[in-house]
Amino acid sequence: MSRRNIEDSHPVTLKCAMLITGFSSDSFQTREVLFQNDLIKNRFHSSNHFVDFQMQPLQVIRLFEKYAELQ
Amino acid sequence: MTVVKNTKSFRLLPAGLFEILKSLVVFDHVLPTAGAIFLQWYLDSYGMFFLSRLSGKICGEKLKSIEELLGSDYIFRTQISLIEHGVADLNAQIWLWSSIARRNAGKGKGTRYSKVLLLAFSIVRASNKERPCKGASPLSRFTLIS
Repeated sequence: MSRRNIEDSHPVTLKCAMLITGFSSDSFQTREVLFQNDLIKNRFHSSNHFVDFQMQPLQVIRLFEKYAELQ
Repeated sequence: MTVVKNTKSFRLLPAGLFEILKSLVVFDHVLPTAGAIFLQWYLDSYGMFFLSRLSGKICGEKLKSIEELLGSDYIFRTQISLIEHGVADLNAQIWLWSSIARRNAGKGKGTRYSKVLLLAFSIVRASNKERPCKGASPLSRFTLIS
């Protein structure tokens, strides 16, 4: 299990999970992002290059706050 | 499966969404392919759900409601029918969805989903022009977007 900053170690997975959350629901919920992250991991876990990791709610919240401030 | 309670909900404005998409698809030399893989996966997995969401109707009514949304345009209805029967390939589906998004945005009745998706397609298209794809690169699958 990785303790690195998730935005540095798995930026694509994290942002894709964020976007899917927005596409499929009316708001960007941290809980939904974690759920989508699980779906993505399940999709790619059979890949030879896949390295499992754990996404924490605070990491998602931090990134949401960063993008929510942009206007 | 991650189980999380009491997490926050955010409201992202288009500028924030654009920054996410941009960082996924355009300016990084590594991520364009990853962004394209994501879009491909997303469209494969969520395509019909997106269409039903876009139309604002439940899945069982999606074909009719999408036809209402698009009017009587023959080519649109043909594409939808092909997709319904699993005939159309991914490029055809992408073409349809990007067209739907573009139409909705143009009519001023686009949802956030259509606008964001249109933005995503625009970025992918721009990325295609900047980085011509060869062989089996995932981005080559998006070249039919016009």
